[in-house]
Amino acid sequence: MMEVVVLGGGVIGLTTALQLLRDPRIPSHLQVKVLAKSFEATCSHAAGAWWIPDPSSPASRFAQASESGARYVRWAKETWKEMQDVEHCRMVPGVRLYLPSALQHGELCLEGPNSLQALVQKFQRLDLAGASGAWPGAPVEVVKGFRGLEPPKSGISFETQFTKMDAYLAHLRGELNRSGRCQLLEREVSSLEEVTAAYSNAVAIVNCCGLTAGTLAKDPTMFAARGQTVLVDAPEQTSDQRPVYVLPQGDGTVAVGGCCLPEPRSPDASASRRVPGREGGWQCPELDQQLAEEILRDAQAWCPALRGRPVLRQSVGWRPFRDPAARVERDPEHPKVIHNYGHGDVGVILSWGSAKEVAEILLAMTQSKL
Amino acid sequence: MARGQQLATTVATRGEVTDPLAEAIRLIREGTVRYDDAALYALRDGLLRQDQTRLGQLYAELDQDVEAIQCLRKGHEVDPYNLDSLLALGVSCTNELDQLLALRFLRTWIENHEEYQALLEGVELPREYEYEAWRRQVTELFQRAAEASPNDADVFVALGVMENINRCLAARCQALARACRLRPNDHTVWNKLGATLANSGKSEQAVVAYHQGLELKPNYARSWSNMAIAHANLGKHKDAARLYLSSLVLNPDATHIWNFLQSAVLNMNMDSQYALEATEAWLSEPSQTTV
Repeated sequence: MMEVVVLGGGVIGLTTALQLLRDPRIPSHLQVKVLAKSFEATCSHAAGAWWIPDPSSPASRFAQASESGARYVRWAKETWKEMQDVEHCRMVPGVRLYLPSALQHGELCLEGPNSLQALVQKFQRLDLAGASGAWPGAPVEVVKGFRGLEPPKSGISFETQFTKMDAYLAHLRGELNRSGRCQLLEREVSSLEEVTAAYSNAVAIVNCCGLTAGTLAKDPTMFAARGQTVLVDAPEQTSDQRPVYVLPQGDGTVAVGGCCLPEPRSPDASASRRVPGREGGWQCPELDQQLAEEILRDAQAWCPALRGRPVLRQSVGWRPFRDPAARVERDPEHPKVIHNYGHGDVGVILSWGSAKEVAEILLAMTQSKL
Repeated sequence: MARGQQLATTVATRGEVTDPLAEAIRLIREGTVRYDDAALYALRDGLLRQDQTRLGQLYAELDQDVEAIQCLRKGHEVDPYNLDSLLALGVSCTNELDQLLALRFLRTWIENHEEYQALLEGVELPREYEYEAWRRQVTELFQRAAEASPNDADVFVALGVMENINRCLAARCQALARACRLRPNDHTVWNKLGATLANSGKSEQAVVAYHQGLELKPNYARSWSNMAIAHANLGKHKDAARLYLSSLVLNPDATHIWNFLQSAVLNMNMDSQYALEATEAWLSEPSQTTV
């Protein structure tokens, strides 16, 4: 028997565990244990999970023609392939993104190999020169970030998908359970040494626990960015003209978002908004009610059908950002540890691609050298 | 005798050692190394102290690719046209899963090779981070080189490495088998064929290839490690542990091998179970039911 321990119960941890079990190159006597503080309240549960690299992200590596940008695009394409036939991922046609002048010269790369165009379907440019009135269907977040600018002269339209996260995560857990070779264990981990000692039989330990992963790896380049969504009861909102951050979930509710607010790295500076976890780590934060009201108000401005609808649930998560990019590699100091964290706001989009990278690393750890 | 390699490494990596031969003699007197191979290595190393390429190849033989890459890159900086360092870099970077870098070195090998540089005429350099474009182009270049020179072992070694990057099972084994036929006295080529077979799930055949390489060079640490991995893959953990030890005697600095040894030892009591499973699987095959 060969055992691998995966730390983290969010989309990265579960996908990694499933990839290792499904990978045809890995022997079928592999057993996987997934350890997580919780499988029900992860950062992934709060995600709107909507398939574009976020134009206002503090570290959008898609945007740049860099090695990590190219790597992200490769992972995203692999993930897209894997998620095509999953029922909790739905295509959203006719998504429109409008470009204030600041964005046009900003970091979101629209065309070319490492760009938005490469990651969505039916990409086309829109000419808005003759359009009048408000910005119809502008993404809430872009409006917030660029409020007060001139209305945009151009835009783009494309088809993309989004994922209903609670259902998708439950689906992943179901697949793991059905494999008969995986155990999901609710267990908090405080150090890599502790896990290495407790699971000395394991051939590898994969660190996929988001912000906590950074704490375990003592990685100073990790930082958190608040993501918050509001779930609104709006049964008639089935086809949406403004799908950006107003995402019909297919069950009579819509997820309304969002934000991506980087937190200061110093624990003191953000004491009022963030609860520091054990040993300087991060903990799931409290909801920001004022922010929730703003999010809802902005969404209602663009989507009047949401006015007066009851709020069913609010979610908040800390997106685990890493400067400059996600870390998927072996730990030079802990030979059995493979890191897979720091995916920022694109965890779902990168999930299968980076899980495959982990599988490659695991194979390399046991492979023969030329 | 094997400690000679270790000595060469020690001597060359210790900055403070000014006279490698004197250091070699001192270590031999201490009994740290044996005389025969050690003196030879130290001498050679003394002469080639600045030859980082040779040292890099030595590290690769000792199963330490990270160190090998460091030395080979230094060698490459000193002599950018050296084909040996380029090919060795392609191999070690492939082992370390740095495929894009491996592809760059392999392409540069063609670029610098008198016979093959003509293949690059009209072929544009792929864009910097477009891995797929790199992979396709370099594969094609080596395929054409192999067609043009069916008797150049180096080309088939490089093509084999390339097909390892492509994970093309049949093609990589074919290329390296051809390289072995062309250069049957090169232990490193046999090892590459063995490793490729093992990585294709053919551990039993891999063992045969490793044996050939080790016959040519009994103190080839990398092949001992690979032989151990092949046995572990076959579920023979006791043999694997013994073979890991053989490799560690030659090079105790290969830290990953200590980890493998640990796993093999922890799995040793499973050997009988594996044997039983293998036998039962054989028994349950339809043609065997009458046994």
